[in-house]
Amino acid sequence: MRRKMLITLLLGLLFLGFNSTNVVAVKQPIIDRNYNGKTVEFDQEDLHYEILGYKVLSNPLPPSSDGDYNGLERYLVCTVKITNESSGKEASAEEVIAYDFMGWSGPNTLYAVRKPAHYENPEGTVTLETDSDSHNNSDTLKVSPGSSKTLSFFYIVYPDDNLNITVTGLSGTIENISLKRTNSNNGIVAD
Amino acid sequence: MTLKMKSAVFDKSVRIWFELYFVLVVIGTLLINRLPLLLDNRNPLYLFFWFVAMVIGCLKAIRVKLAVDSEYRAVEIVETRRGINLYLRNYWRPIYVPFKWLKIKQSDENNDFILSYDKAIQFRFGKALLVSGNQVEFSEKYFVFEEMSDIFDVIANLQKDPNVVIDYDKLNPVEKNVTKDKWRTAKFFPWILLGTSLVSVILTAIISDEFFSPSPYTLQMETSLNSPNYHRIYDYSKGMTISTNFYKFKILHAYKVQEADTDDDYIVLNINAKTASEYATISDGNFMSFDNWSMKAEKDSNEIDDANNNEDLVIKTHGRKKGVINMLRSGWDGSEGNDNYTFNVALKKASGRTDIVYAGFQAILSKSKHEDTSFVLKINPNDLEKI
Repeated sequence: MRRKMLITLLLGLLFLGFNSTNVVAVKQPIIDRNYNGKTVEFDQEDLHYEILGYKVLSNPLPPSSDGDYNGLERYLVCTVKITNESSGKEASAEEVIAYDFMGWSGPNTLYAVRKPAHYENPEGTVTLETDSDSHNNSDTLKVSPGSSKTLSFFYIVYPDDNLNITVTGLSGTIENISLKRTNSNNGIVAD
Repeated sequence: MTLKMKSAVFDKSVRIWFELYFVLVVIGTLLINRLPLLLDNRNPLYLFFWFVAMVIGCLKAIRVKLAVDSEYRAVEIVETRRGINLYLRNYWRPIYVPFKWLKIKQSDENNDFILSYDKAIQFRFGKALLVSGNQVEFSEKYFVFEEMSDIFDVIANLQKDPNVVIDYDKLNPVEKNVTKDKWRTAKFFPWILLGTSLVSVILTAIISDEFFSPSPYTLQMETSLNSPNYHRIYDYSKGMTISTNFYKFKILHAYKVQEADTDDDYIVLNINAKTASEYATISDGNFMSFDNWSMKAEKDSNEIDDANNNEDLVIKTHGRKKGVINMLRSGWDGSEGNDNYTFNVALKKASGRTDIVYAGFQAILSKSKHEDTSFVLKINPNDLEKI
């Protein structure tokens, strides 16, 4: 009787295990954070990241694109401050790559695009972009020990979507920062 | 003088065996049912599994029946009249218990005999081995009570006086056909269990098949169209779950909406997708609508609409124009970001039933290992929600 129960239990566990493996894929760890209107801060290895804020620009507008017949697309600009906190003998400059900062418009990943011509960054802010056309090496930036850099990233988004930015830090962990969640009671249009 | 019995351990162990067998077959069926994520066609596996299960079940039942039909010796008075031989399961050969070490008790509540011995002797390889004492219960469940009481009476008398006269006629009673009462159930019981287990297995298979993948069209349409089994066909119901190789989709809503300027009817599907593979990529290019899907129509690209035509759909809602939020456009990759997103897909509605296809691979080409399987969702206009 006891053996029978044990075997049944083990088989049950096997079944449970099987069930859960269906939906688990091997992935990098993800930390979810919410932008509360002030800043979001986190550390990865020697780098300290601060999401200073975001803005959906009503002007300038992005160039008209294929899918956007109704002209809904807007620029999203997100400002991030990165400080290299390493010190001492082994301190080294860290490289920040534009591909580590992905924008999200709803379920869609976005690469950082070039800064629009008629937009002025605040003093001291540098734009990183992944535009392959440009040859100005603006997709990477070195941050030397003890110093900090303020970066801006531009993405072309649909402003009514949920807006997120994911940052893959030095340690490989993905930080998923929710900038804005659209309220909707039916799931398809904003309230 | 021998007390005979049917295998005393038979009753319980067989029941346990068949219960386990039953549980195993059910679990096996459920496991196969969960396999479609890895396997495209499960039917041969089902048949093979049930065939093997049935063969195993029948073999066991036959063995049980043979065991029921044969007899076993349990107690035997040795010719010297100084002791008995006990045939126990724990020992390959009988053990000899002299009367001096033997005590017989009859339990009060039921007609069982308890035989306890302090020590016993086992003859092995020409040597006598001393075996430690134990007690054995002779239950009415397995022996005929009259036979038991007769032989234990004789043993009790012999214990007092080895020269007592034994009435042999009384000790060899007319063969009672025990199979008629107690053994009847035991004999048929494996067969009954086998029958019921098979029926319930088939029933669970049908029920769980319905439960995991409601697909009344599947067989008929697939076979008639000479398509590989990479398309699964579903009737839409709100909140249903559809699993492909790479995703677990939950169709949260299907809305009927009007485009703001043209008043054309569109269907907006509100879907939650959970990534199950690192190869998974998804975009609006995967979704299209048909007025009557067939494998040929998909191969010939006879769709009404592609979701990438409607990336910026603006609809009328309560007299106002609003853009649909969180539309699936360029989509995401299984290796980036979260593995769980809720999004919308908009497609032109057919006049009657609309068939919405998620094409995991291109129908004109054969599916590669790193491409997903497809599904067809048949949406009845009455099932569409309004905002």
